[in-house]
Amino acid sequence: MRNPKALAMEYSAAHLAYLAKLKRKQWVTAAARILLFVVLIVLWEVAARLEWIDSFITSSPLRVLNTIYNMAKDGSLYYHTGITVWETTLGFTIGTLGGAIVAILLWWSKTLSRILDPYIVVLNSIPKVALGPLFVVWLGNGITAIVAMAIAISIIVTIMMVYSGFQNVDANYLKLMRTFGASKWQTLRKVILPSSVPTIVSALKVNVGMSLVGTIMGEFLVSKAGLGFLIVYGGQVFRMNLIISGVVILCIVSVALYYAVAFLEKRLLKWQE
Amino acid sequence: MPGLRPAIEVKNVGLIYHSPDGETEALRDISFTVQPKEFVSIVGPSGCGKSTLLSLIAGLLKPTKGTVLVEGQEVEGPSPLVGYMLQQDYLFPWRTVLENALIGLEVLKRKNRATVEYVQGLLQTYGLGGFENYYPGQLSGGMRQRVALVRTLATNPEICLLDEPFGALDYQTRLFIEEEVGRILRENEKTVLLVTHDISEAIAMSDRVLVLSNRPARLVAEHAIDLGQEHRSALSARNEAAEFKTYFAAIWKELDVHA
Repeated sequence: MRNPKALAMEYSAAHLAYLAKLKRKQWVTAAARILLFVVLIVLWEVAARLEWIDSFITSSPLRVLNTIYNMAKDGSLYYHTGITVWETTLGFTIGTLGGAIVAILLWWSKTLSRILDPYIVVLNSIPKVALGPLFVVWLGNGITAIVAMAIAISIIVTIMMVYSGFQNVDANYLKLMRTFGASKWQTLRKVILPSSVPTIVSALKVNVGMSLVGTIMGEFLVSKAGLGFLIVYGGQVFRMNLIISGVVILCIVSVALYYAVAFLEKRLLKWQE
Repeated sequence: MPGLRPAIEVKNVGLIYHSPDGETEALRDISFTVQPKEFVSIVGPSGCGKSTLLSLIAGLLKPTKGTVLVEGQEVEGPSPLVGYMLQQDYLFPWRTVLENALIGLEVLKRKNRATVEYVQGLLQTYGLGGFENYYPGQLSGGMRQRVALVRTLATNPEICLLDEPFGALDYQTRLFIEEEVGRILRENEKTVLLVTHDISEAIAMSDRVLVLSNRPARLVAEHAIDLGQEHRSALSARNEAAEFKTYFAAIWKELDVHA
């Protein structure tokens, strides 16, 4: 039925011109993006070299590259990045699964959700970062406290997003299931969960970012390893190269994690095509 | 048909809804029966409680007063004897046509090779062969409605409850599907109770039309419809059957429509 490729032979000249124009527009956009990046980097480097700015405070692209290169050589790059990615993944997975499970419990029992509603609202509004020192005291100065931070930041948002996704399922789907005499468990498995997949996936996308924020906050506090540690350490010993290198690597990590989730989304939402 | 046990018996049924704002009387003292293999329509003004009546028979609601019997048994909850078609197709977009048609069998834990083949046969018969692995989003409105019908027939219910099942379709598709669904249900010898606000649809499709009043709904009239066997099609019933206009005028008057 909807197969644009099968029609390609029949396109008129006007339509081909339109497609070419569309493609040209995409090219210009992509080129402008890259150009902007290059100009900013070059400007930064030139400004540092000609001493328009104090490169001790602002660092410079080549210095940052050099720092990252040295870190790659002595292996610390992989060590710290690996730790941050691992902590983020743990926090993200536990936060998302835990949040989804709580959302299912709330859906299962209307009474429970009525009772817990104000608690969730309060938990959502407090800045979770403020709990950091507590986690460090309770869970020890290590990875557990960092992962707890990441979970704390992501779990409440997940509960709220997923639960509202459950509630937005069209009541007529539930009626349909009831006419077949479906149990609550069957309704959950066959209707509520599959129809909430888009919501759950967008919760995942939000959570990747949230967990990374939690992990970096945790690493600031625990100060032992990870990109957050590098950045905070760089600040303490006044090595701007190290701070900016940490931020650059963090950018790359967050983009990579985001695309990993986007890839997952594509796999899960096949039927939407 | 004396001596035959009615498929549906509704006896002195009343229903009151409760909400924090107060109570609403939806149905008052309604009694009627539907014989096996009979096609009965219920017409009434919008919001009068027609759908509520179907929910009672389907076992989704309990009456405040009176009793509802299906095949001689008092309705306690949803039963595999009763199939239900909603106002729209409500196909699951993440399931293929075949998977959608099988949902009822899955819920009833009756999905096996024989029942799947039966459903595949139904899809084939009703013009959906070759579309089994399509997603609903790839089908036209009429095809989706047919999938919904196959989904209802898949569990092989004795009784089909149709809750304005054509309301969401455009007029041409509607006439076409109306005729087709009517034919399919008769072919399969189902007992049918159709709820609609479309008087002509009720007359064209049914053996009998029940007329409900405004809220609280009471049964105000009952018409045995006989347009003759040659006027079974949707168009012919409307345009050629002489009695059509008489029935229409009578029901129109009973509905007492005020704009």
